[in-house]
Amino acid sequence: MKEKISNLQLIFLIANFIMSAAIISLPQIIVHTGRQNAWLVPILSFPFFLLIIYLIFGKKGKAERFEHLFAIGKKGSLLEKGIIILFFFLALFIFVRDLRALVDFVASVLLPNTPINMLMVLSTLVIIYISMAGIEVIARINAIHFFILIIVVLFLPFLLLNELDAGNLQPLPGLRSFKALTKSVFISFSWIGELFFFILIIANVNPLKAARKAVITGTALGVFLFLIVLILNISVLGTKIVREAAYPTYVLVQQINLTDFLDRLDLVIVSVWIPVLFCKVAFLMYTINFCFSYFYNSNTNKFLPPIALTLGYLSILLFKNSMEHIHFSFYAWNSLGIFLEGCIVILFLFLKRMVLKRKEAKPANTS
Amino acid sequence: MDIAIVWLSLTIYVVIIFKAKIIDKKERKWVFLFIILTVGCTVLTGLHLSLNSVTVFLNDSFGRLSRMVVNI
Repeated sequence: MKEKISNLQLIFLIANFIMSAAIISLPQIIVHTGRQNAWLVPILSFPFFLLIIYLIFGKKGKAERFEHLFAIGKKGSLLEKGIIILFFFLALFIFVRDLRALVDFVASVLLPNTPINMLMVLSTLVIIYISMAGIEVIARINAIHFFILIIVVLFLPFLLLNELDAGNLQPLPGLRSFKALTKSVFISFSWIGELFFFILIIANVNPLKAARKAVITGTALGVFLFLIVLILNISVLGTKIVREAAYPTYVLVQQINLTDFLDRLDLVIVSVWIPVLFCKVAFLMYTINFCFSYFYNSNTNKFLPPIALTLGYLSILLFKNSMEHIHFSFYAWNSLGIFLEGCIVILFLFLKRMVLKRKEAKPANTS
Repeated sequence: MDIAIVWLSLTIYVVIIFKAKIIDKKERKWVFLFIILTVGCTVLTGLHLSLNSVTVFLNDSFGRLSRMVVNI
């Protein structure tokens, strides 16, 4: 039986794709390029994504035609196979990038004496356990943890009220800052573009009728939360610290001191955020397994443990050190991500047209 | 230590998958291929070898393109 997820779960999943990995170190490069006006980046990129979502879904109430897309065991078209291959590479690169980012973060901030190989193996075992349960379980776990993260992020401005300095946001944006902001939007595009993973699970959404609204809401939620984090990063830390800190959001959270004895809230907040990132990486593992299953013509978890462990080790082997990982995330990933995501969207638009033509031809044949 | 955990996990995986007869004869080759890949990766990590030539290539090609856009 096909696994189903609700629209609310889809909203939280999409917001997770946009926000959970991006808050680790993306503010650093965005602020480096866009300076004090970098907080405008999520607002500027949102209309682009809105337009692409409208292009993908088409007119209201037409989402039902995606019901049988990417079905395992069914003979798919060449376009479908091409999209699945592109999704496989996209998920592979993001899996390796995010798992290494998570491991590096834990190794440098939380457990400095633990070797990263050990952290990677333990994380991969957790990811295998979650992703083997399927998309329904991943979506449920994600909904619980992401809801808590939303509350935490919405409370951050109040917790940091005593540290806010509006002067850090000045001078205000003008026409001169347009060029720098465009570059920042380019940098963030591939990261926010990870929301296109919804294409792969669109057939699992129930009811499919409201999927377009759910995708737009999820994108808006993810972008809004990222906007809050960016504004706080710049206004509390200032552009100089954000540009030079490896983990600016963690430094930001460390600034919370409510009273003399409540000044280590960073650990509490990190323990809320890490499960959300685990959900994202588990979803990526599910996606990779889904791509294998599609070509294997059977929905199977048989090969998942060794594949996950191999990819986990690749996240260590592909990057000699954390600097190489940061260079990949900040520069190589921008162009590579835009290329892969762009190809997926373009091929999907062709596929949508093909499905529509096939549906129009069917009633004519039957009559 | 991490290598020991991975090898132990793989052993448990193989025992479960063969005892429960989850895989047929055709699928055996895939199971062994993926296990060999994992073991190979653990050996590479144990020998402190790196596969960063892939990342270097990506950083030089796609990374350079991004840097060009950012430095305009």
